[in-house]
Amino acid sequence: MDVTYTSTKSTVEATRTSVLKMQRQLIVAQKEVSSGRYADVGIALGARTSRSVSMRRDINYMNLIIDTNSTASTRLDSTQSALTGLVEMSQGFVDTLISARTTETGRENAANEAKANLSMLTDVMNGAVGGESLFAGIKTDTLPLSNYFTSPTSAAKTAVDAAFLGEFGTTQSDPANETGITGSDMQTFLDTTFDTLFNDANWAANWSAASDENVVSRISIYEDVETSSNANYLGYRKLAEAYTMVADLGIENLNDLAFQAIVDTAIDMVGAATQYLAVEQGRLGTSQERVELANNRLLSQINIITGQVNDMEVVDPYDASVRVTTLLTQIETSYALTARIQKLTILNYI
Amino acid sequence: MSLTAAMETARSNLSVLTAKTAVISRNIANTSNEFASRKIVGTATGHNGVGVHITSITRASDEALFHNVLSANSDASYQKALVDAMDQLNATINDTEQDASPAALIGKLKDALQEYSASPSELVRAQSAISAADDVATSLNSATELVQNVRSQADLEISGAVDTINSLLEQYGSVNQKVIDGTRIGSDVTDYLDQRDKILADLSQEIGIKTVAGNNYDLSIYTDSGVTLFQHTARAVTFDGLASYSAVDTGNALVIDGVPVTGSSATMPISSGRIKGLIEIRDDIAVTYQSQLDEMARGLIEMFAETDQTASGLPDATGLFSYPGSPTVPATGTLDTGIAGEISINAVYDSSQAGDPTLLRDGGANGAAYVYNTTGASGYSARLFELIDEFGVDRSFDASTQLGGTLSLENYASSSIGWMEENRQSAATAQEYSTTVLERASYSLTSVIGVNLDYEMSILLDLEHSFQATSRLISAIDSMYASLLEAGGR
Repeated sequence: MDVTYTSTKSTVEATRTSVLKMQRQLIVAQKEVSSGRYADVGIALGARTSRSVSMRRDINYMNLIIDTNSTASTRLDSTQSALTGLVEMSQGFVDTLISARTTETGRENAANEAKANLSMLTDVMNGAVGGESLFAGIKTDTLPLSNYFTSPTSAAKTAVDAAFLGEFGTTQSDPANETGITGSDMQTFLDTTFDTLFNDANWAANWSAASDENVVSRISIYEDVETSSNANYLGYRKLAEAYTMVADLGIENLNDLAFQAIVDTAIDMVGAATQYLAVEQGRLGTSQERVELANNRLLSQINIITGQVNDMEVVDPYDASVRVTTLLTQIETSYALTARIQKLTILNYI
Repeated sequence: MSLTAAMETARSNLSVLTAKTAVISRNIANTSNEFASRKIVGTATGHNGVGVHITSITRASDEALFHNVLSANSDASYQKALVDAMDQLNATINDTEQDASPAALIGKLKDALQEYSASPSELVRAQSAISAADDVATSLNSATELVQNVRSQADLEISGAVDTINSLLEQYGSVNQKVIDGTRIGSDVTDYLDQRDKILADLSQEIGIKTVAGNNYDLSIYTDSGVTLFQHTARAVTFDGLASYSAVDTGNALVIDGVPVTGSSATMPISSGRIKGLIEIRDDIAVTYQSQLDEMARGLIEMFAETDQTASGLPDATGLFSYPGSPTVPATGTLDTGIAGEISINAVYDSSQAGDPTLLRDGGANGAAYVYNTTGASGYSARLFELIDEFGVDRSFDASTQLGGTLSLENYASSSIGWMEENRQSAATAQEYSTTVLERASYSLTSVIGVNLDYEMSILLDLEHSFQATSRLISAIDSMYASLLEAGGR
C-alpha cells in the first residue's frame, strides 16, 4: 500500500465533521452576540459561578433594602414635619399665654387655644402613614392617644377632675374657686398632684396606648436604626400637661394669682417641651441622615458588584461578532470545498 | 513451453482478472461503509511457471489505529454520559440570570423577610414571606426529585447497556467462530473480520475493552480493567436495576463473569465506556449533589428553629420549615440523607391551611414558651432581624458533601452551584477533548483501511487492459492452433 493512500470516506468525512463542529460553534456565538452574555454561563465560569450567584443575590438584597428604606424615610419625614408643626403650635401658644397674663380678656382666648391645641396634639399623635401609626412605637396598629374632651368622659379627664376635686374640694367650673384657691395653692397643685398625673404610670394608664419601643428598621446589611417616635416621649407629655392645665383647670373662675401660677407653669412647661422636641427632631434627623448614607453606600456597592457580575458573565460583543463572521466564512469555504471535492473524481475522465 | 501452456496461462489469467474485478466491485460497494476495509487480492505464479492463481484475499488493516479508535470511543462515550447527565442536573440551577436555583430562592426568602421587617404590621408582607419560603421548600423538593430521576434513568440506561453488551457478545461469538473456521480451511474471512471489528466498536462504546489475539485470528475480549468478557465463549454480564430511586437507595454493581466491576467492592473497576459514566453519575455526582441539597434543607430548618424564650429549659423546636422529624431540630453538621425531599412549610404558618403567617414575626409556633413578641406589638421586628441575620451566620455542614466546614447557608448554597458548574465545566472540556481524539483516530483509521474510489477505478482500467490483452492472446493462440491444424490436415 502506498503511504500517501487515503480513502474516499475519510476525505469526505473530514469536511463533514468540521462543518458540524463549526455549526455548533456558530449557534453558541450567535446566542452570545444577541444576549451579550455567555451562552452557558455555568460552563464558561465553572467554579466561579458561585460568585456570580452570590453577587446577584447581594444585588437583589441591596436593591430591596433601598426599597424598604423608602418606607423608613417616609415615616421619618412625616414624623419630622409633624414635630415641626407641634413646635410652631407651642410657640404660638406661648405668645397667647404671655398676652393673656396681662390682659383680662385673654383668659378665654388662652383656654380656647389650649383646647384646640390639645385636640391638635391628639390628632398629630394619632397620625399614620400607610396604615401604620407614626407615634405608637412598635404598636403600629393602635392609635396612641384618645381625645380628651369626649363623652363619655375620657380616662385622662376623669383623672384630672378627680385630682382637682381631691385637692380643692370643688369642680373646675365652680365659681367659688375664685376665692377658694390661692395662687400658692394652685402652684402646689400644679407641681405635685397635677404633675403626677403625667408621670410614666399614669400617662400609660390614662393617656397613651403607645409602646415605649420605637420602630427599628434595617437600613443596610447589618445596620439597624430607630425610625419612629412614640407618644410616651417626655416632650409630648409636657405639651399635653401644659395644654391640659390651661384648658381644663377652669381658668375663667380663678383669681389672678392662681391664673398666673397656671400661665407661668404652662409657659415654663412649653419651653421645656420645645427643648425636648428639638432633641427628638435631632435624633430623627440623625436617623434620616443614616438612611440617606446607607442608600448612597448601597447604591455604590450595587454599581461595583453589578460591574463585577458583568465582568464575569458578559462577553466582548466585538469578539463575539467577529467569531460569528469568521465562522460563517469558514462554513461557506467548507461548503465550496465539499462541492469541489465531490466533483473531483476519476469517473469524469474515463 | 507449449501452446497449451500459453493457453493455460491466459485462461488462468482470465479467471484471476474476473476475481479481481469482483473484489473491486465489493470494495466500491463498501466505499461509505464504516469499518468496511479495502480487500486486497494476493496472486502467485502457478506450478512450473504455468499460469497465475489467487493465493489469498486479505484486507487493509491497522491494529494499532483500531485500538486507538476503541479506547477513544470508550473515553468519548464515558464523557458524553457525564455531560448529558450533568446538563440534566443543571436544570436545578439554570442560567444565573433567571434566579431559579435553590441558592437564588433562598436569597429571595431573605429579601421577603427584609420587606416584612420594614412593615411588620402588614399581613400581606407576612404572606409573601411565607410563599417565598414555600418556593424554597418546593424547589428543594423538586430538585431532589430531579436528582433521583437522573439516578434512576442512569440505572435504566445501565440495564439497557448490559442487554446490548450481552447481545453483542453473543453475535461476536458466532462471527469469531466463523473467522476461526474460515481461517482453518483458508477461505476468505475478511468480511467476518470487518463484522467483528464493527461489533468491537459498538462494544467499546458501552464499556472500555481490550483484546488479545489467539490462534487462527481468534480474539478474546477483556474489560479495560482485565475482567474476561469473551474467551472462546461469552461471559455473563449481569446487573440488577432498581425500579425507582429515593435519596437513601444505593444502586447495584455491574457484575461480569462473577466479578463486580463497579462500586466500592470492585477489585477490578472499569475505567471507561458509557457504563462507567452512568455509574459515576448514579453513585457519585448525583449522590453528592443530593447530599448538598439535603444540607441546605437541614440548614434552613435549623435557621428557622425557635428557641425557648422563657428560660424554662425547653429544647429548640422547628419553626417555619418542618420535616417528618419535627419539632425536633436535626443534629447540626450531620447529613440527614433525603431531607431535601421532605422539607415543607409548617402548616401553622400557612394561611391557606388555617395557619397564622404572623408567627414568623412573633414566634410561638411551638407554644407560648416560644413567643418572641411578648407584648404582641404589630411593629415588632426584632425576630425578623434575627432571622435575616441567620442567613449570614456561619454554621457547620457535613464534610461528606464535599463542601463541608463552617460557612453561612447563603454561601453554602452558592458554593454548591460552584461545585456543580466546576464539574460540568471540566466534563465538558474533557468531552470536547475526547471527541476530538475520537474524530482524529477514526479519521486515521478510515483513511488507512477505507476504499479510495479513484484508486479502485484506476486499477479497474488496468484490469480492463489486461483483459483485452489476454483476450487478444487467446485469439492469437487460437489462430495459431487453427494454422497448425490446417497444416496437419493437408
